Order: sequence, then C-alpha cells, then structure tokens
Amino acid sequence: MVINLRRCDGCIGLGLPPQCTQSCILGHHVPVGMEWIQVYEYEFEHGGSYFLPAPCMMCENSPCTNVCPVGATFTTPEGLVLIDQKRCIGCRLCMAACPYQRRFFNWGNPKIPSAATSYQYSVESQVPAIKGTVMKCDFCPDMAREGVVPFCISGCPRKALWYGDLEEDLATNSEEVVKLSRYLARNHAHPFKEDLGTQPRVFYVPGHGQDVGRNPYQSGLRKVTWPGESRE
Amino acid sequence: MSEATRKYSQSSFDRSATPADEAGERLITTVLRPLTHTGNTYRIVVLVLFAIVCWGAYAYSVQLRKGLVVTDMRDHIVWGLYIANFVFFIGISHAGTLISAILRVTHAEWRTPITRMAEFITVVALSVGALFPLIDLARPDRVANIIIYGRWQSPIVWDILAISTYLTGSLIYLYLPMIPDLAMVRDRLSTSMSPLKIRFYRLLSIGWRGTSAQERYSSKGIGIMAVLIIPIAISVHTVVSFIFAMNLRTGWDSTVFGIYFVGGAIFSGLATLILVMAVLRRAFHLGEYLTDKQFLYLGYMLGTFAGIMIYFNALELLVPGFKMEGSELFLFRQRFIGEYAPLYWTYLVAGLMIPGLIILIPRTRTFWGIIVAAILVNIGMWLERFLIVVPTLRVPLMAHEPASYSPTWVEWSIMAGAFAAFCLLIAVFAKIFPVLSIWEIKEQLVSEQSNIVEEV
Amino acid sequence: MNSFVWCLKWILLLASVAFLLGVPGVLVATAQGSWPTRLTLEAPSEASVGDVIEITASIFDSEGVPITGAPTRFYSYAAFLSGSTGYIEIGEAITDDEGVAAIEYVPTRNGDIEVTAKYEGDDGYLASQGAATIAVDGNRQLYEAHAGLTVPFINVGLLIGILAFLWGTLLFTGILILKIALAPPE
Repeated sequence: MVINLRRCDGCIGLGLPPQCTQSCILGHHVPVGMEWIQVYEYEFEHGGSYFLPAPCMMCENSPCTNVCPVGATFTTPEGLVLIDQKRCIGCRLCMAACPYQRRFFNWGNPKIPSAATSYQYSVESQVPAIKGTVMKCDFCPDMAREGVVPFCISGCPRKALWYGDLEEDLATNSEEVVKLSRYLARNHAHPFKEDLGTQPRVFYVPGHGQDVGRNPYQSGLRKVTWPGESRE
Repeated sequence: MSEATRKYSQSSFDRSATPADEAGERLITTVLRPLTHTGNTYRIVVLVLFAIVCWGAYAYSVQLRKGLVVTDMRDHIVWGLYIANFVFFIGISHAGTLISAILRVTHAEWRTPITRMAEFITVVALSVGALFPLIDLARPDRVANIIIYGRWQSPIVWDILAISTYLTGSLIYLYLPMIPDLAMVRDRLSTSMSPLKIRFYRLLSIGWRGTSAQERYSSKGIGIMAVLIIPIAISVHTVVSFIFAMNLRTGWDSTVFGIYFVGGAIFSGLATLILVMAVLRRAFHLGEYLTDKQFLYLGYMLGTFAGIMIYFNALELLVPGFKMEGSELFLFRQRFIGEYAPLYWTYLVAGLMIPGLIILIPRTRTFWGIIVAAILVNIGMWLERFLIVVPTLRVPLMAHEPASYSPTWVEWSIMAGAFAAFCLLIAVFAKIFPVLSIWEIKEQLVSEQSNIVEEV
Repeated sequence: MNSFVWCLKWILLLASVAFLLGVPGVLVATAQGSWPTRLTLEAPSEASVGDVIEITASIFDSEGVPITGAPTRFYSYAAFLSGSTGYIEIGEAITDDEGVAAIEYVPTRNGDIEVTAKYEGDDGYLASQGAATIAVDGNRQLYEAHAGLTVPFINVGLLIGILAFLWGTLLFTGILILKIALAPPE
C-alpha cells in the first residue's frame, strides 16, 4: 500500500470523519472501538500538522509473527500478515511487539452489528470477531482475489490511498493504475519508522494534504462511528 | 525419652555410629514437632489465607465469565498486574534453588539450615508465578494450542520450556536431599501418626535405609543437580526478560535485560528467603539453627545484590538516558517527574539505596535491620516489576494521548489470592515436610564435634 | 517548389555547419516548423516473467534523420483488480545520437503485454508513437521477502539440543532416585 499524504486531509475538508476508517469499519464489521486503519494527526516540530492514515504495515520482518507462540498470526506466501482468531490464545505478546500499535483486542464480547454474528468465520475477513483474540487490518485478501480493492482504498474520497502488489509491480487507487516501483521512486515514498528494520510494505509519500487544498494549520479530525455501538 | 525418640535410636537411619548426642536429638524433636503438633495460630493463619485464596479464585471466575474486560488492561497498556506478578514470583523463586545450589557447590557450611526452606520457596513461587501467564491469557481454554501449534521461535514458548525445566529440576533438587529426612520421619513418627500419613511418608522415602549404595546414588544426584540447576535458573529469568526485551519498545529493547532480571530475581529471592526464615524461625522455634549468623550472611548477600542492582539500574538509565533516542524522553519524564515518579523514587530509594545502606552500616546490620531491609527490597522489587511492565507500555508509539491504567478489583483480588496462595503453600509444606535438612545439620554437628575432639 | 529548394539549401547549410561543429543537436534546436516524426518500437516478441528485456524506440523524422535528445516515455497496458485498467508508465529515456531510446523492462505477469512508446514532440517536431506486443510466459515469483539472516548451527536445532541435554540429565537423576528405591538392603 502506498499512502500519498499530499492528498490526505483527514477528510476535514469534506467535514467528514476519515472515510478510510469509516468504510473499513462498515465493510469489515469492525468491533466498536477498533480502528484498523486509523488516521493520526502528527505535529510538525515548529507548528502545523499532517495526517497519517495507518493500516497494518504488513512488515516483512514482522515483530508480531516473530513472537506469536502458536503461529496464530502468520505471513501468507503473498506476504500478508494475517491472524487466525480460532487459534489465538490471547496472550497479547504481538500487541506489545507491534511498533505501530496496529493490533486490537477483544477484551470482552466484541460489539459488532448483529447481522455480522451469523457469518461463517474466515481468517481473511475476521468476521465475526471472537472474544479474547487479537484483530487488525488484513488488506482484504478475500476481496482482492475477487478483483475488488479494499474498503479503505475505494472509500478514500481523495484517492490518496493506493493498493498495490509488489510482485506484479502495480498499484491502484481505484481510479488509475501505476507501476508501483516507479510511483514509489518518483514520489520519494518511505515506510513509516523504517529504521526499526521491520521492513514494512506500506509506504508514505510525505505531505500535509496540499494537493487537496489543506494548509498545515487546519485541524479538526472528526470521530468515526461504529454501527454496533448501540448494541450491548 | 519419648516413644518416638527411642525408636529413632534403634533405627537404621542413625548411621553416625556415635551415640545420638543431646544436640542431634534436640534438633530432631524440634524440626519434627510441627509435623505432629498443630497450634491454633497456625489454624487461624491457614484459614485466613485460604479465605483470601478463595476470594482470588472467585475474582478469576468473574474474569473467566466476562473476559479480560473486567481488568483495566486495554489496547495500549496490554499487560498489567498479572505480568508484573508473574515476573515477581518467578523472581523470588530464585531464592531458593539458585542460592542453595551456589552455596552447596561452594561448600558454605552456614547454608545447611537454609537450603530446605530456600528450595521450598522455589517450588512454591514457581508454581504460583507460572499461574499468572495463564490468568493473563484471554483464552485459557486454548492453552493446549501452545503444545499443538507451539513455535520454537516464540519467547513465550521459551518461557514455558524454561519454567517447566526449572520446576522439574527444582522438584528433584528439593526431593533428593529430603529423602533421608523423610525416611527418618517414617521411622520415628510411625507411632504418633495416622496410617494415611505413615503410608505417605513410606511412599516418599522410597525405602531409604542409608545403605552405602543409596548414599552413593544420592550424593551423585545432588552433585549433578546442584550444578545443573544454576544455569537452568539463570536461563529462566533471562527468558522471562525476553518477553519484554524481544520487543521493539523503548525501555524494553535492551541487551542488559537478561542479566538485569536475573540480578533482580536473586535480590528479591534473598529478601523473600530472609522473611520466610524469620517467620518459620518464630513459628517453629528454630532459633538454635537459624541463628543471627544465617541472617547476617544472607544480609551480606542482600547488600551485595543491592549494589549489583544499583549498578544495573545505573546502566539501564545512563546508556539510553545519555542519548535520549526516540521516546526515551517520554519514558524518563514519566519515571522521574511524571505519573510514575512516586513509585519510581520509592523503588530507587527505599527498594535499593536504603536496604543497601542498612546492610552497609554496622549499627543497622542487625537481625531487625536485615528484616526491614528484606521487606523494603520485596516492596521495591515488586514495584520494579510493575514499573517495567506498565510505564513502558504507556509510551505512545503513534501520535495519540498516553493511555492510563489503574488495576481493577479483579486484578487486585487475584494478586492478593496469589500472595495468599504462596504463604499458604509454604505453611502447608512446612507442616508436611521437615523445614530443615536434618541429616545435613547432623553431619555438620558430628564433624564439628570430631574437630573439637581432635583439637583437644 | 521554390520553398522546397529554399528549405533544402538551408538544411544542407545547417547540416554542414552542424557536422563541422560536431553538434548534431543544433539541427533539432534550429529546425523550424512542425516536422512529422516516426517512432518504431522494438521489443522481443517473446519473453518470460522476470526476464530483463530491452525495449527500444527509434525516432526519425520523415526524412529518416534520427532525432536525438528526444524524451521518450514507455507505457504498458495493465489491469489491476477490476475497474482499474489503463496505460501505466514503465520508463522513460532520451534518444541518443542514433535516435534510439532504450529501457530495460521486466515483465511481471504472463500473457500478451502491449507496450507503447510515445514521443511528445517539441517546437520543431510532431509527436509520434509506436507499439509492440510481447508474449510473456512463465510464473516466476519475482518478489521475495528477505527478513533475517540464516547462520549455520544457530537455529531451532540448537535450542532442541540444549533442551535434550537438560532433560536428559534430569532423567538421569530421576533414574538415580529410582536406583535408590531399588537398592538392596545391606
């Protein structure tokens, strides 16, 4: 995934909560309180800020899979880091290990829309959520197989998020296609916290939303909502 | 002469050949007395402890029903009291076996009355401590997955391997030197005990008659275990530190963590040993054997380890503090002037400096001084475990407000239950097994006597 | 007819000047008007996934004179997930003295790949483009994750070895206990 921060204004220009997060929550039946892709507001040292949508970084040298005692979190041959909630024992060592805090825990009974509880569980969709297990962004592998881009990509009104494949060297923001390696190089994209050596496969093009008219001093990220919130 | 002692003098156990002298006889009656006589204080203490354990079990049942949501752990601070207590208990388990093994290997004679108790503490603390990761587990129903799908590469699997190896080793190391004593219980108390108890001791003493072959096997086994248990014990706490040190987190990402944990473990283990010794000495009138000398020597060791811990802390603070890389500033502020400053300063001053000073200054280096130091060290080391777990997890890794954590009644109750279980098990152990290694003390008495004879 | 002769004169004159100066580029710079150009794209007709192949675009004007220093962009037609199709830029190069711009290209998926090259033209020349099709076969995995380092003997086997030693010794002491139990009375 490539995230062009020049195009990300945290959806404040539209007066909406971050639409990547919101569409992910709706599409994935994300339990209340979790934001698998979460938009953080980072301050520049001398004033102003930029928004950083953070999905799972899908690290190649992923600390979470390295520490898992039961292999419940694992890397697929395609390079995706997924979680098998039917195997997870809930020790939360992976959560302590993730340097991006991209893992979330079902501390109690997960609050998800009642419709989602009747789904057949799948590792690739993590629906329905299971009590006492870890969850996180999964890059929607089931949808990609059907040729559909993940919810966050299609949900981004600014087309700032690119979903790609390093094997095919292609990426799309659901409007256009680019050669991934060229896009990365020409926009000097970098992984977040790359000096940690986790080798993430999410790359950021530095910016503060300038391409969609945000100046660095505009703030006011809105809060997302969960359909399951009203459920007990 | 009671019936029991008369039987003893005829027993084959009495292999010293010399007539059982006064001191040896007194030793045996004193040590074996708790096995047959139970006071009211003991009953009340056990009852209270048992009630607390039940309360902790109830709290755990609540947690089982509702999930970890009943704790105050959340997505940012994912571990809390349970893991802190896990580290603490595994730490005090080093009291025993490691200390007794080191002293045995180095032939320190003053350790003979201590070893048995130290080994008790190891087994009990290890059993209680090993429960905490299970209590912390959100899906204890899936614990078998660790065996079915276990990955050799995971620090948690290392923990399980190390702790199970240590527990097995400690049990052997506790049991092997106890066999002659158990045989003596079997031989001497057979008239004053219920048949069930007699069968129990007969079973455990596995036909020990003190034959030369048995002696040979026993001393060989003890010799092997005393050496083997040292690297195992060290590996255990090193591996415990790895569930922290293997993570890319400010405050945990440290190469010194392994030895830092081992140092802390021996430190708190010594303190716990001193306290347990003091309580049992009082309760079972063991003043003649657990003299102030034992406390003083253990006090010296405690003081040494206070120094070692001060050194480790200096390393842990100075090396990252000099560079202030990444989130170190946040962590340092939190420790020294922020949310955790009161606890952190208590740990540094009351848990390390003051105990060190108490041992260092001859005026305060008394029995009671050492007891105070041991209490402070235990409190300080518990705080240290807590401060390793929680403030580090509180350091935000992304741009968000730091989370907060204040343990709920469930967490406190389970912790109280665990401490009560520790005391209860020690109390029960002390009731069933001789708390001093009788045959070793006797051997020592004999050799001392022969020394005196030679001098004369 | 007059204008043609006039032009020819100028071209000959300029060409000789350029030749003398050894700066053929001047030709392009000083040419006036919009000359048609022709771009021929050459690529191997067959390749396998992962092969490094060379795609060359040769650009000439209508007279067959190579156009030098011309920026050329290369595209391929790609589809990625449903609804996202189009030409993606796969490289760019500048033509050399012979009017040839070349890029190295690695096909990442099999099937017929349509490659195009485009010269956008400039003040003097009109734009032109050419296309070629490469039949790509094979299924090679091109991208592999490289995490960690493999060192001989330092692996899970070592851990199992240490454990085996420890448990073996524990077992041995267990046997000693058994021997105590089975020792004959003296």
